[in-house]
Amino acid sequence: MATLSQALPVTAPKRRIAPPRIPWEIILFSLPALAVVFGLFIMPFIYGLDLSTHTLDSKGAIQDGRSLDNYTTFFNDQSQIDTIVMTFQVALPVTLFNVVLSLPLAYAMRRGIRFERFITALLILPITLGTVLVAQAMLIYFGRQGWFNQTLQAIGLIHDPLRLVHNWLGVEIALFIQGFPFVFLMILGYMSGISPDLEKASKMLGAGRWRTFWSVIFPLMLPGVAIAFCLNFVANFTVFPSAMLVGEPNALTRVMSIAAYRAAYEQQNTPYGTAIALIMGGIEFLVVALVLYLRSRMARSASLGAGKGA
Amino acid sequence: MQAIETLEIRGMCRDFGTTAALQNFSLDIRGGTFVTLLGPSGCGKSTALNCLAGLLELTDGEIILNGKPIQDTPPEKRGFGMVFQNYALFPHLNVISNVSYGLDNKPMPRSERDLRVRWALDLVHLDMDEFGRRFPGQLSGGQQQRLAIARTIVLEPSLLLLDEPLSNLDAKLRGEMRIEIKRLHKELALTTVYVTHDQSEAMSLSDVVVVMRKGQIEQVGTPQDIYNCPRSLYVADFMGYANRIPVTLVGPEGNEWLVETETGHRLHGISTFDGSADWKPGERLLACSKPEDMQVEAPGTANRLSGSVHLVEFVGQAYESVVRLDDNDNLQLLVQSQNTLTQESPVSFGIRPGRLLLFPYEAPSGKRSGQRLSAVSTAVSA
Repeated sequence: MATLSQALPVTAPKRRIAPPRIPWEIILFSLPALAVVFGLFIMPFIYGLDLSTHTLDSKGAIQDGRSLDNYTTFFNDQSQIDTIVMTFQVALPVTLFNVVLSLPLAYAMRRGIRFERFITALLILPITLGTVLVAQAMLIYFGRQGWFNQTLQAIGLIHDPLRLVHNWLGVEIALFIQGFPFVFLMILGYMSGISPDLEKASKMLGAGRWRTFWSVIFPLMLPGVAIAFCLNFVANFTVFPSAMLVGEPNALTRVMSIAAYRAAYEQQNTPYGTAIALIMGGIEFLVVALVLYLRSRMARSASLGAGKGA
Repeated sequence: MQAIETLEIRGMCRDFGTTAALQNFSLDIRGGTFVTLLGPSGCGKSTALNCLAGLLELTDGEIILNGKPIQDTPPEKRGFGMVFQNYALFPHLNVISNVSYGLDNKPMPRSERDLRVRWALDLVHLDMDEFGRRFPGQLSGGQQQRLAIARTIVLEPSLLLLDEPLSNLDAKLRGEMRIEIKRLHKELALTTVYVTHDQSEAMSLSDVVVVMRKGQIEQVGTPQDIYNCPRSLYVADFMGYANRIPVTLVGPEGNEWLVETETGHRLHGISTFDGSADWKPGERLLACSKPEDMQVEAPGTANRLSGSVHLVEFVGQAYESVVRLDDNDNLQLLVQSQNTLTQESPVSFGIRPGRLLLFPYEAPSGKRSGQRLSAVSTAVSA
């Protein structure tokens, strides 16, 4: 410090910098929120982390000693490894589909269209209904004797009813109905935040629609697309009710949440179930980290605002 | 890019829903001229610019470039350049990439592209080595403006369109950039159409000024024409003829007209209004003049009015006072004097010969001149 003050020019006015005041009111105001986060997230997380390091004895009681046995059991069990693959097979296609479908639709709707409120309301409806109701409706509508198959048969498009529920496709449809509105509205919000002048400027510089989309709109959309992808992927990766109700929970849609549920509540091995749930969380975290890393590599500067010009 | 010899705009119309934003806009632009579309917001000047650019489709009319109609050519094929009011720089691209964006749409060797980028940045005095790698968000307002211009002129557009490019800058920077734009126009001989609501910008930059009103052209002329001979009250108002005196026509007298104020004072005025040939004695008119043409120190006894000083404001080259005319409290005029005047003191002032313009009477809308006067009062009382 002494050298620093000596290095300062002599003419510099001496200003006494007040010691930073402790912002008590901010600390106090955030306490309730912190308590909630601590009680509902951090505590259960630590509890689960601890629980997953215990194993059961032959009578089914939780043992005292800690080990990583549950994790080694999981990764040595081929059927559990398959579960991870299956979960990806369920979550990844529908997430990609939601994002890829949302992008051009949002692009077309970015300046507002007719009946936009109505369409938005229609899109929000399935979110409000809840997974179970959607699954039930699907069973009736898409079932072998459902309206969908009956209609297609009646107009002669198909001979035998299509299998649309109780399989992988059923889960995908359910996740699409649930997730698409969310992804679409998020991407639309992001899209309409891009100044229309940028598109006009691109045209005036001689770029056609295609180049304008890929050189201007898409890079500026990337942060929004990445976030929408991550949130939707996490939701799809943890799918449980849809996989049980309209999927094949014993075969192709035996996703990780079902595996965790069975371990904890059918085999009564809570520590093992917890370990599976934590592995699931770890994988989600890795995917999110990977997506955000890719995003920052693809458009390092996209989040830099247009500054005063905008 | 094919240079402009003639650009003819014939009856250009544009409707938005049921409102006509632009009606029967016709204008001939010769290559190399600087044309300004001038008018208040909502007068259709930006609509006209966007129609020229091709960003808005015409409802009716034709745009003929060197004899070829181009109104159906998409904007990216017209070869025009446009600088936007908010610059519309690509925030995710750095300065060099912003400038080379348009060049990437044309096949050319990399070395030539680099040369052109440097040329354009040099032209707007933006140092490529210092700023080339920066992003628009890291530039100041003036630098963003320079970049927006460089990005457009690097393509050597046949027509440069500028949409209120200076309105986002502070007063000092606006003055600097105005000179820069003028310099660029001279150096490149670019045919330019410039949109603004600022009459001083229009006066200083243009070869031709187009004053617009409610989607239509009100008057076209050189800056001197528009300034000295406004052909309607609207244009006069826009050009700063802030003083309006309701008068009655007595009759012609030589090249001038003799009019009488409500308080019986006789004044000499001229008319730049097209329909003045039909005027008959007894006609109600408005006599308009600029504050700088109403001088306390003016010599002679003709064309004089008197009143009492209400407020005084120093405007730099002179003092400007709000004067209430004798026997007519409702009439306030802005009068200039070389020395400051005492408030509430009587004053007499002369109107410069030939600088009192007569127009058909219109009830005061309380807009521009009213605003001006109240602005003075607030400035003085504050």
